Amino acid sequence: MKSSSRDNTARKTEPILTGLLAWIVPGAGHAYLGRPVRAAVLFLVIHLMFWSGVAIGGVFTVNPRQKTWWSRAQLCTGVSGLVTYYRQSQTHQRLDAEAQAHLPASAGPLEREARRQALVDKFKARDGLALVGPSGEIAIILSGVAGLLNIMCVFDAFMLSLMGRYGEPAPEARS
Amino acid sequence: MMATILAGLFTHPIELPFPPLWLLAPLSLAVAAVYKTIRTPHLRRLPIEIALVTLYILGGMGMLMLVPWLLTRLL
Repeated sequence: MKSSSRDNTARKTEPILTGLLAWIVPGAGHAYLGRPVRAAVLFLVIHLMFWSGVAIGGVFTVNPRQKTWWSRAQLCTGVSGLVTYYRQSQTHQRLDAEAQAHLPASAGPLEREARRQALVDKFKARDGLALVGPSGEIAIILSGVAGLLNIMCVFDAFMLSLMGRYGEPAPEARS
Repeated sequence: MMATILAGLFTHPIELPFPPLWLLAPLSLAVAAVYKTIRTPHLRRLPIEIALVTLYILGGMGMLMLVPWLLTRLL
């Protein structure tokens, strides 16, 4: 019998570290637990799904100001979610600064806020960054579901580590 | 050049050349793949199990769509 991949108790793993790895890079938790094939499948599927969503929806696929819960789900993809969050934050700040420059000084705080939001939306449309129609919704769903699926992977990796499992499960004895 | 194209790809939304409903198929495939990759004890049977669960999901959604479609046709 091969010792490394079949032995369930060959190595002690740290559950918190396993969970953290599984969150940061989808599939990394399973790789750490000696399950490289499963890790590769999870890595490929979750990344393909997330980045397909971002490719369809653009930079504002992750939008914590308008889609708070979806953006929290998207952040569950770890580094990919954080990178996309940072990119939309930078773009939003740029558009915000541009909108502030166009606001009249005499307007009251409520009016300024309403106008600022309207200007930001206008600039998003001008630059071709705004999410439109069902494609935008599908993009958010694809990337959000990728994050939700990674929660499942994180939980699975954490529990396997907690139970002291390492490597692929041993084949069942045939009767 | 390549980096600019890639940055543009993930910055601006793209027009889908097909109805967005077709994206339910890869979505179902991804859900089935992640679920079965975690659950299956036999890696050799993983592709067939993923295909089966994908078909179950798509079949179930198809049935769910069929009922209201039939109701709207009959009523």
